[in-house]
Amino acid sequence: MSKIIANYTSRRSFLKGASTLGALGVLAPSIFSPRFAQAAVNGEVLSGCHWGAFRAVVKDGRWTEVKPWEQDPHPSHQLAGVMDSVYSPSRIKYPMVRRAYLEKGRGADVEDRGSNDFVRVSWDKALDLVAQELKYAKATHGPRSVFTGTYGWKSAGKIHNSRSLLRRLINRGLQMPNVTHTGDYSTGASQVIMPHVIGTLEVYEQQTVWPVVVENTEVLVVWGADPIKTNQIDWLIADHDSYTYLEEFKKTGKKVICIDPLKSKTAEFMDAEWVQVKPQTDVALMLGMAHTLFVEELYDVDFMDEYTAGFDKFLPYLTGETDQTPKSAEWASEICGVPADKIKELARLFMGNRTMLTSGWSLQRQHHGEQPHWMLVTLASMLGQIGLPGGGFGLSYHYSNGGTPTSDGPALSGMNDGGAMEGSVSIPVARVVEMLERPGEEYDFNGTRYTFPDIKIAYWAGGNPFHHHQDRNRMIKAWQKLETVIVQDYQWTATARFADIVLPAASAYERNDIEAMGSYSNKATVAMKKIVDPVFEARSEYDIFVDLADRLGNKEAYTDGRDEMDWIRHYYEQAQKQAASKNLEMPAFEKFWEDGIVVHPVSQAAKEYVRYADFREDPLLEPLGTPTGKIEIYSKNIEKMGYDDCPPHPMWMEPLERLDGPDAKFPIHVNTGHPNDRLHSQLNGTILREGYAVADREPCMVNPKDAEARGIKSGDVIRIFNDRGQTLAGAIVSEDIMPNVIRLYEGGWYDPVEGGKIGSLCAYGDVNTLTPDLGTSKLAQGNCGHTVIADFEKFEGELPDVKVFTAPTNG
Amino acid sequence: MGKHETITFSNSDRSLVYRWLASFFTSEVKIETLESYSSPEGKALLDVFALAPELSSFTNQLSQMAQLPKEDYQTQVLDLATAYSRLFLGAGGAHSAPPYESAYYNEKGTLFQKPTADMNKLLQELGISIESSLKEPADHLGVQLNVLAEYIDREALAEASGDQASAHALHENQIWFLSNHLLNWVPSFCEGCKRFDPSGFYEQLAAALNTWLSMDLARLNEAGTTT
Repeated sequence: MSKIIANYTSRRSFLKGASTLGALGVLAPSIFSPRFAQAAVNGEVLSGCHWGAFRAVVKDGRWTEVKPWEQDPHPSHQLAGVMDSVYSPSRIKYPMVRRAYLEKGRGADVEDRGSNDFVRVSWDKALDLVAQELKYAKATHGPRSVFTGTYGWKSAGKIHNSRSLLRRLINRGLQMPNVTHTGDYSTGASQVIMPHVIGTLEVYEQQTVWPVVVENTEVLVVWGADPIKTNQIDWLIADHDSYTYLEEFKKTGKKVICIDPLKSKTAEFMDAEWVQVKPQTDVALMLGMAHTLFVEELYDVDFMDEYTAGFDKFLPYLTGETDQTPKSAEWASEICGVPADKIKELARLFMGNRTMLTSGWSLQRQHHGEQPHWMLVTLASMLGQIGLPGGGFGLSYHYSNGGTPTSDGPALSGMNDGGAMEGSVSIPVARVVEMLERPGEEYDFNGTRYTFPDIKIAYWAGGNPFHHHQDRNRMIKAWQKLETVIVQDYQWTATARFADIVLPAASAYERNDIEAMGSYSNKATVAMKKIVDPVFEARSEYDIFVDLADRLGNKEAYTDGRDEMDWIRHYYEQAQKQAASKNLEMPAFEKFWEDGIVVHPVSQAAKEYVRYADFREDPLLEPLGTPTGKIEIYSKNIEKMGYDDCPPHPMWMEPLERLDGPDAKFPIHVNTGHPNDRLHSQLNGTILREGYAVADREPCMVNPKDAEARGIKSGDVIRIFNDRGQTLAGAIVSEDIMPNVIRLYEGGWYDPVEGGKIGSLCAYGDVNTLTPDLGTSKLAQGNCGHTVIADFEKFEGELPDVKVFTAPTNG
Repeated sequence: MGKHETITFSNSDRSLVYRWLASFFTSEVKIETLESYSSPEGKALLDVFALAPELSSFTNQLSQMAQLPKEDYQTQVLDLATAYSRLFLGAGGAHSAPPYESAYYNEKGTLFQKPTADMNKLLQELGISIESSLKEPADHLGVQLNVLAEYIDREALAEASGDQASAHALHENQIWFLSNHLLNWVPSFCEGCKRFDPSGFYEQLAAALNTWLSMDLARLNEAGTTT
């Protein structure tokens, strides 16, 4: 043995001589340190995320298993994707700069954005560049030249709140008036109209709690919502407690009606009656019901007199006195496709039973989206059950487990933006592209004229506008106006691909934080302990922003002298003090951090909460926050605005386009509902996709009749197109969707066949290649993501690869 | 030595080749790298590497690059860095060639899987760790090539100190490591480079590496079977 080895190694070295070259140390360096690796970390860590609380099993420093928290009554299957997202090949690993930008500076070859030509730079270089751009913006363009709207579902956590941290950087670091956003893509229209109608945002308020609904509601209506699907997630940490109540309701055997163009998960789960309605025609359907209640003299006259204002001004419209068109069930049926008899039957059923009209936000995410919820409140008023146990309406049963009783626990506060400087402005969130297109020009919003700022730099941290914004092609063009785009994220989103400077943020599982569980229940306070170290060169949001503040010369003002753990302790102890004032004991911080969670008690009163019960009890002492103190079916404030697209009482108005609408250019409505297997675009890059992709594309549900007409079967790749754009998708042929409607979930990652090219075919299935970018009206300026018609065909050409999710080729 | 003459490799040669090949995967080619290869020492180094037939086309390409006018270095380096980012750092999306064994361990390409754990364990057994400046998991190609170099160096040391048993074990370790941690995925990786490298440089590098690994395994087996 030894001889052979000796022979082998004693042969003449062909590198003899060369190996003495000094160059070798540089050109063939060793990358090892002669020391033992650090002791491997093992164990189980309790943490939380939008999908719920969970225990992470860590083996030798790697996260290997995710187990739902034992007290989660209905864990989301998406947790598997949460773990996978950390080790996903689509992680941003290093700071990157777009090549043309690096070579030629800001504004270079902007039409090249999206073509994937990036070069790695050091953190120092990347942060120097960002700081330099911010200083340049301030020195050259002055106030309001940097956009920090950075909308999106940032990771949970009160400290590493990328949205607040970014604004804090502009406010305290750069010390320049900023430009941020107002409202959101979820409830843009409703949250502006509802304060006029009922005096609160409504969409983010606690609902009549589920125990009361289970006991008292006789007819549960789920209108354009799918709580079984969407309650998987919470803006904070999901508690999933609504599932228990949905199950209890189902067991009672009471009536559940789902009004929807497709058979939802909820309809399936609840064995509900499915009423098919043509998309975007809900107002007509509601008017038909209201008309029935009126002409049949069924509606609650006393309730209208005592609790509402302006019904008398609405009635002439309802009866057709003003426009010679009675909004009868027959009239409604022509528009919404629900048979007139069914409309009347539903109206009588609602009137004759304790009925809870729950609605999702899909209804208001469309052109004239202010009207549906206004009309829903009007209808609920006519039923006269608002403020009664289990009656009335609710706009948040599908979101963050709304309606789950609220605990006595303290509110947990978190990182703030440090105080915006005078002169800061905000725009309605979904007008971001129009802002880029029309700098210095005026626009209307909720009764006031504003001027669009002239933005030079956009900084996005923890958001993906190239998923959530409508009309992708128009957006790509508008983006070219920006001199510099900075994106900070933990995934190579489409937005990151359209950036100039890309910073790798740590995931929520690679840093310490603290968060509340349950947006409505406030069930617990959760320690979001770091599970594993950041991979590659990823850094926590806080550390990144602190280093930037330092480069801007204002580190102290930014940090207030606190590091990550100091902040966590700070907010915990604030909550602890608040709890003490309510005679509620919370453990010392050390104990909390060790246990990982404090669950708060729930009072009997909280389990019996009925929304608007106080108002119903005493409308004079407990008035609503509207000008009249009552439910405003006619709003004088809105009348004063004089908007042609938002009248002073709810009305049916033709949207920009709709299925079977006048002059409809395309025969198919595209339903852009929320996905069941991810959070908007989050987790699209994970193993969860294996469970739903069709032909490697985003699945698109098609009615058999429409499929047959086009020679399409399940598994085929289809091309969906209209005059705004085009995308591929994988067909699923199913009776669970009504004819002439197809469903392509929002959140599929934009994957242009020709990166950066306007009009390019999306290979994967981003529905926002098809949607229009317009405001709901001058009142709310919400987005209209559900206002879209198109056509589709079997894709016959050479099939382009899906390449947006990093994956190996496997030869 | 003639060009077509059979050449032989000492262990110090082999470990050098591994470390040298690894260097192209652990970081981008820099201007200083090109400058080094244009220096007399660097040229000499490439000349000798070129004696290995499996490496010669790659060294030729590198030599040509180094001979470019100095003012062209910047563009050249950026071309390579762009290709590097697309192929190895994720900028290319699925049109990439992830340099991690884990990426080929499952269909989806998830990183930090069993191969990472295996490599961590292996480094621990070897009593070494990755330099803190290199923020890569242990199943990165560059790390794996360095592990092989480490085995080779240790075999030479054992040999030199007369510890034949250890030398033999280390020899066997190389055969095992090449088969189970490199040749099990480098051919797929090589295919990715071939399909998606916009520069051609990494395609040639990966091809050279792939051939070198196969040849080296054959040489090791040959040395083993003559026992």
